[in-house]
Amino acid sequence: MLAVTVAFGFVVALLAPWCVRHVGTVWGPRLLAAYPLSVFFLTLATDYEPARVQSAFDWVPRFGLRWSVLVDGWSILFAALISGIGALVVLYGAAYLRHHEHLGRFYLYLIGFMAAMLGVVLASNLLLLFVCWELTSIFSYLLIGFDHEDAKSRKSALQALLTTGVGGLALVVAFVLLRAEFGTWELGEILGRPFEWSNPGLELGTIVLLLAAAFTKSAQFPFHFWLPSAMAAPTPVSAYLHSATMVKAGVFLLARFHPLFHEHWLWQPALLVGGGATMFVGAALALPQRDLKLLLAYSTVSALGTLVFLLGVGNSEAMAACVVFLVAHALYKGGLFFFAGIVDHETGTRDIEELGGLARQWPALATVASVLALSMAGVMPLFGFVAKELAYEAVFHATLPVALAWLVVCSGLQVAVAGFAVGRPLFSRPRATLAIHHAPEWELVVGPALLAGLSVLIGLWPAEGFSHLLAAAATNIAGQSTELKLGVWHGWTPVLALSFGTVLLGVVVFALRPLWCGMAERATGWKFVGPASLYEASVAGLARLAAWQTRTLQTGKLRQYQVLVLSTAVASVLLALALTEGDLLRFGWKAFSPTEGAVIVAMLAGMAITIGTSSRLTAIAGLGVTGYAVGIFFLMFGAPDLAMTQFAIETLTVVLFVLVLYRLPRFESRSTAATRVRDFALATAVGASVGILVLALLADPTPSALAPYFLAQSEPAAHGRNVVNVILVDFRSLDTLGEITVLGLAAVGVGTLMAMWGKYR
Amino acid sequence: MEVLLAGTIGCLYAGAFYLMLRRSIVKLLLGLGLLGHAANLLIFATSGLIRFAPILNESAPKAPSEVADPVPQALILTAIVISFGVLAFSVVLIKLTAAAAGTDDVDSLRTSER
Repeated sequence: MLAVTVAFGFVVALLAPWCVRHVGTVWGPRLLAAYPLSVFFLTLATDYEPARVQSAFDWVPRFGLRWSVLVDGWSILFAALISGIGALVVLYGAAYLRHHEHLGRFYLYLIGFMAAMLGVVLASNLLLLFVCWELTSIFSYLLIGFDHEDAKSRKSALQALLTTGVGGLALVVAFVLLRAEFGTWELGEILGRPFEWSNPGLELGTIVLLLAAAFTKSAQFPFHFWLPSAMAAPTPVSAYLHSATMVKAGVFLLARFHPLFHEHWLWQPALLVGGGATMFVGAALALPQRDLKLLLAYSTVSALGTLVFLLGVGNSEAMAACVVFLVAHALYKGGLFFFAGIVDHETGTRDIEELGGLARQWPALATVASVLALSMAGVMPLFGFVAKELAYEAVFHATLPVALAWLVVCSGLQVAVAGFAVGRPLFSRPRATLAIHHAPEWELVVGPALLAGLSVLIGLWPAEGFSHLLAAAATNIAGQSTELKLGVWHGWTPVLALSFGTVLLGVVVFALRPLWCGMAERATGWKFVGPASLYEASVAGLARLAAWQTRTLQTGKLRQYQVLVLSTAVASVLLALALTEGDLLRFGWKAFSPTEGAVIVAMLAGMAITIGTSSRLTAIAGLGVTGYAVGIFFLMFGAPDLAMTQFAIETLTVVLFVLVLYRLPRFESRSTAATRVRDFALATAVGASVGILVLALLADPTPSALAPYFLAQSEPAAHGRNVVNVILVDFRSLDTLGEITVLGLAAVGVGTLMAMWGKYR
Repeated sequence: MEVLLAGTIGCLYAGAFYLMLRRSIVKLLLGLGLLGHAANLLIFATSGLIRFAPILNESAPKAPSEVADPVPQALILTAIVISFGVLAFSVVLIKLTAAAAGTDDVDSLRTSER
């Protein structure tokens, strides 16, 4: 059922432009929202215990590609987030982009992305997962570059595509290694049993590739740069890609494979260090930002780092905290992006230095945004607080004091970022320069309001079914049964003190904003060492390499092409000979008569004349001598038909050459001596390798399998005694028809060219 | 015979490519013609150098291994005719090209790629 739902999503995406055009820009999107909504309710109604694989249909059976889904707590939780927030984004996008001329196209991309994302999280078949993973990259490319007339937009889209595309390549190799090791493409079967790797190198390689795929997709340091650039996308897209979906796919993947690899020496340290670095870099880079969306983007990087970091901590409590934080983050970050979009939409600016006093204008929106920001800051009693408490507790119990301190510092920075993003635009003094176009429409506000409401509701009264789902998800990714109790009050614990300390730290960081901005200004000169510049340099370098290679290889000089082709041919023949085992040159020594020797001498003499003479006519005559000698050779070795054809054609060729070419001047000596030596050496090398090839060919004792058949069947089947003729006109007559066609075409070509001849005479 | 034939084919290939590497476009054509002969002989060598033609009259040997292999011959027969077609077309094309460009130097014929 769920597998069909994913496939159906792509159909809905294709219908979206039609729907928007014919149903209208108001009701069209509302109709389209029915898809994510129904998926949402379907996931809620799905029984996710016990974990199981459902197979819908074979797609490409020869490759083992099937539409099969893995239903468990982890995939259902993700599917619910994707479809739930997806429905809100579809509705929000309608109001946000109502007058955009390409609204239909927008929904095509958005719903296609949604379906691909559902495919990533639900797929059990690794190939299907990979296909959907790549589709999310492609759809996100289209969404980020939606304002395709803007050069910056296109550049950001390409950056995201290339970065995640490299990860996609790593992913497919990792999956092939998994298939080779486990003998199945089904994730359900791979994860479902204890396993001993046959080769530690293979396991290490798979882990490194999976990490590469997840780190690029989830914008982990040092690949974090594409995510803030991706803010060029329309805000509904940012809200979707960076709260619940695209960037969480990497986290999803890491968590999915956590049970398989968590005992490996590389796995947890890599996640702990990578996530920890990202968590700090993201939060620190967020501090001096002025653009509301960039603030949120960098804080998203930091949050993704936190999720990976929690996976790296690795105890079952950390897994539970990771799941809870994932949901909490999706709710508040989605809502905050919605808020940023509203501010941008109604005031025309996203610069927090220019915004102020919005709370007085829009009290309702201010309440919603404040709740979301407080949840992000981890203030009691909101869902974000619960998530943060759980994370602190997990790291506390894992007795990693340095990691705990690190987490607290980064969370403190996040508190400040929440203050910058919401506190300043809402509550700082009103700006006279700020022009407010109009009040936000209800369709824009309903999404963030819903998400804020959920943040309160889950914080205060977590539903039984909800915490059960989270616990099931944590159990799936921890690989062991995991308890989870959502609740605001955990008693007077050291962790509570840390929570208070975090908020306090955040307030201090918030107050010191001028300091961070000053530091950022001084650091601008150091941008060239950052990963973003490295990306720029490698893209530019690739283009230069391609240009250089084209200039070098494709000179437009025929002779240079020949030199390249011939050297390659010689090299490959020599390589093949060197790699072939056994004695190649075991040929016999048949005697030859003096006549045969004389024919061969004539052949070579004709060639020597052709090469040596400076007269065209003599050269043509030399070629004719060689051709006739070849004909006589055919005659002597049992091929009278060949000989007759050869004589006829050779005569024609000589006549043609003479007719067409005799009026041209004598040959000049154009090449330098060095070129001649080079050409001579190359030609000799080609000749020598062909000669060796012929000797190897003659040494092969395998008799032809075809000859006896044709010899035996010639008379009874085709009523002809000349076997060569019978092959041409009977057994392989279609080939002969083709040959006649080629000759006919050549004749037409010659005729056409001759007709043009008058122009040049 | 084998060494002699291999050497001859090798020489023909070498000569053909040496000609094709010259700057004169006519030499390119002559080389092309020579290359056709060389390639035909190369295929012919696979038939095992048997002197009895694959024509089934009373005097023909009964055992298939004593009769020349007809398959390479059929291939070569086609190849001879096709290479004539190619050569005829190239001769006219090159003549026209040389007339249009005013030169028969291969290296100066680059106008279309600039």
